[in-house]
Amino acid sequence: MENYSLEKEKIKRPNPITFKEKEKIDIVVSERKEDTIEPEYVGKREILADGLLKACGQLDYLDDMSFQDLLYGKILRSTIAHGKILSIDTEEASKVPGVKAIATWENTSPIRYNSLVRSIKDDFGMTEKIFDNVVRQYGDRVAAVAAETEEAAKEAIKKIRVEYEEYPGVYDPEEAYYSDIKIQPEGNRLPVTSREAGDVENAFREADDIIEYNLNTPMVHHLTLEPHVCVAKWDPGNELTVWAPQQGVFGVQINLCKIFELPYSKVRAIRTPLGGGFGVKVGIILEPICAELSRMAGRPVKIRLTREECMVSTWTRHSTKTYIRTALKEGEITGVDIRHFLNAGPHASNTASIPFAQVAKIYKLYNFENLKFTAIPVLTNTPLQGAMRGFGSPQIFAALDSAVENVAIKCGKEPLEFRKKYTAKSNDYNYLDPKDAVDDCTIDRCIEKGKEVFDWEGKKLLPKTEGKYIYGNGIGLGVHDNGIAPNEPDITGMTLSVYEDGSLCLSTGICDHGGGSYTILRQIIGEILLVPPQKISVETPDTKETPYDLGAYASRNTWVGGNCAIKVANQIKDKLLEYAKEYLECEYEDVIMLEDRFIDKNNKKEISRVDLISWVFFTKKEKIMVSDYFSSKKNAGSYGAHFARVRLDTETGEVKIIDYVACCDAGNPINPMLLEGQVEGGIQNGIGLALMEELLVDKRSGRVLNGNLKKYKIPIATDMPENLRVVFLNVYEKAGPFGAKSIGEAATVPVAHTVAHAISDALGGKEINKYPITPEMILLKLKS
Amino acid sequence: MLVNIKINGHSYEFDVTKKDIVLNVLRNRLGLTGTKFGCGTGDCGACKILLDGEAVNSCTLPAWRCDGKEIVTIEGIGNVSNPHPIQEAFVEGGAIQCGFCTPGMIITAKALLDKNSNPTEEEIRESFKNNLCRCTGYVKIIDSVKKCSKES
Ligand code: FES
Ligand code: FES
Repeated sequence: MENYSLEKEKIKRPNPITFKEKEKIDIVVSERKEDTIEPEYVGKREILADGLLKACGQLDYLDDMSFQDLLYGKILRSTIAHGKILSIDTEEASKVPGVKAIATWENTSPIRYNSLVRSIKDDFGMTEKIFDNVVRQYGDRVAAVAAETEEAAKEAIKKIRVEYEEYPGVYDPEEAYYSDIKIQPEGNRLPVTSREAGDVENAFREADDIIEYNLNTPMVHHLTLEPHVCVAKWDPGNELTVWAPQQGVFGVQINLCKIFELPYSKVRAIRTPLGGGFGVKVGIILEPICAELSRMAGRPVKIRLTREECMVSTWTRHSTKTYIRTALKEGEITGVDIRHFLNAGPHASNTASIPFAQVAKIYKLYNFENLKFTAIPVLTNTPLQGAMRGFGSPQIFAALDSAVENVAIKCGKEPLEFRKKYTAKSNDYNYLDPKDAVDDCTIDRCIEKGKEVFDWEGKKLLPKTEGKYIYGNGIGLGVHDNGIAPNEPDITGMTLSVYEDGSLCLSTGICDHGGGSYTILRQIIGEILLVPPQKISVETPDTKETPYDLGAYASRNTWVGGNCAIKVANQIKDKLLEYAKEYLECEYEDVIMLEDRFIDKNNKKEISRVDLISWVFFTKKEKIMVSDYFSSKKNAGSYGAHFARVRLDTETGEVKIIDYVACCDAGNPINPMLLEGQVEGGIQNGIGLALMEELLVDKRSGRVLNGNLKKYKIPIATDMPENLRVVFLNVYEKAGPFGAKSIGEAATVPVAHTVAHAISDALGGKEINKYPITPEMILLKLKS
Repeated sequence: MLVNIKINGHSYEFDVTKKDIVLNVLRNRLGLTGTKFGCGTGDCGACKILLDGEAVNSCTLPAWRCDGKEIVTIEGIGNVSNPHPIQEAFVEGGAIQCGFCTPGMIITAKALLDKNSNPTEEEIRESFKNNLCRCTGYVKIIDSVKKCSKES
């Protein structure tokens, strides 16, 4: 065993909070409402604050906004997957009427960057340039044009002549690991992560049986309905402003400052409403290109990608190849050895961080006596791969949970009961990542409740065949984290101010990606201050105007943002109570806060909220506002046990999911409606991964074969399960805001392998070794 | 060439070429940006409008083909101060997340309910076959339409 310190993180758990003490509290723990009064806003199905605007087509996304003097940009894409640019001739292009700027590797910043750094000190590999003289994937960026109209830019792009020296490409991570073809000057190998719990070698030495299981997962694109779009304006004062539907504006600022060697005070990134994110709107893609074009043209420039560019030239979920060996002794698993290849595509991006996220979680779901995990991220010439909903969890848990399922089937054991022998229990030790405590583990409870709602035992007794149809049932387990603590700084800041009429303004760098994070924050603040959520406005994230936030990823918005909201709301509440005490001339403890007024409970003297705020302004000459930050110290697991029943058509190979139950633990729900919505969307996403989505790359040319919606299909309404039920455990999480945990990513983690297990069951236990499980694959399996 | 199109109850005359697409006419000439560009190839439904009562994709529809016809966009269905019941049902039913597919979804729902005020779940699902949503899993969208049908 590796020499990890056994000291578990100590978490202060003051409960209930007293407002006097709050400054000392690191982890904000909210009062359990059930002991006191019925919650007013938390736990309610509060509607999205901007829901009606969206429903009426009146919310302006970036492409709906107008900018004065705007130019339109287009990007020239490489038609080869690997090669050197020998020459770029832009002369004809520059003659196209309306063309204002042409950017290539010859006239743009040569500074290497990584589009996903969170701090200038991050040492993820710096492999990208705005434009390079080497192209490394089909659809790589070669040049860009800004013109008066989109048509002119398109025409100019067509007139740029590029001469390449073509290099051979490599498209498989395992091959690329050993290949002589070098994709980056530093080679193809990114840092390997290898960790071991117990003594795996010994477990295999003493095993009486060894069972192997392999799984390949595909490149899947996020497919946000809103295509990538960005506007940049480089003004004469050398100040750069960029607008984009961003999951994190501060990361944009950091990278642009690095690329253009500008002070932070000169770069401003503003978030516009997101038409979907899922991980593909974190980091920079179009920002530096628009910025260069704007600098050259002296006017703001907008680039909106085509659907094909989004699919081929942004990034995808990491495709993976996983090899798992399981050592068995007397029918029990005694050792697990995992080798996990991650295809990074041509740049470092944050691929090497995926294994760190994976090691933190493995022991939150399964507790094997001996386990070794080796993750090998490798560069290839496929499209770039990066963060996507689940950040490596769907892939690793699909492989691991299927390996366990596979052992159960091979040994003739009931797969659900067999799993439970190895699932993690509360306060188990996290051998692979000891700092990240397992703490409360609810997977067994998810299994039990899900089993009951799904009627697992009853379903097993149903007939397996009916005419040309065969049926199968499956279960799949998963977990995802809440933020990036304790291993990394996980910080968000907020300013909360009170308006004269008692309504509030929240200034936060947190980006709501559409899932309703702002609604959650409003509910939390409203609950503490007894202000209806509709009376709380949230400012647009803007590096110049709103406090710092790390970014809307790693399922942190509710967890970190919610805790920060509690912190600032409690401070405002404290101020209000102090002022009320002074005005009412009573003790702090005797003040009762109501929605509209403050009362001294002894003599019933009172002041309205509005009058108190005015009194503070005129008499005390003070403004009620608070700025603070919250740094997360703990990372809870959000669990899910999913169940599916599928029907396979033995003539066509088609799969229909007829019944699906997702039993999730996302803590105490702040908004059950939004929570359900996240899970339903997560299931849709997982079904895509399981059954139909794969960006196909030609093995010889590296061309993407299906970079459009005619060929690349995502689940539509008729692909969703006929009967879909989402249930929650509602377990109060001590360190969560009002007991809540995240759900957005956890929702999708167990889906694909749940479906795969049900299909495998229908096929009489045949192994599934590749996603997506297409009808052709099923027909082949039926024949074999 | 000159074409006459009635849009959200008003008559307009446009000078268009063969290549002018309805989506661009709506967004760029009239500022009706509620109709979204999601793919431009007729595959996602974000750009749906009602053309003489039928839900059609406007991103592949040449403007000249609409001469003498009537178009209703999401702005014509209702607005924030006077929303249509379907719009309200979507908001209250949690059928909206990022909202980018929403105008197209509501147009499809409107076309369906205008023709069939009491559709079965099957019919609702079928009607959304050309509308992609990547956020909601369609569950709450379908439920919201069901709710409208019962209430109507
Ligand atoms: S934008 Fe018209 S169908 Fe996608
Ligand atoms: S709500 Fe985001 S695509 Fe439908």
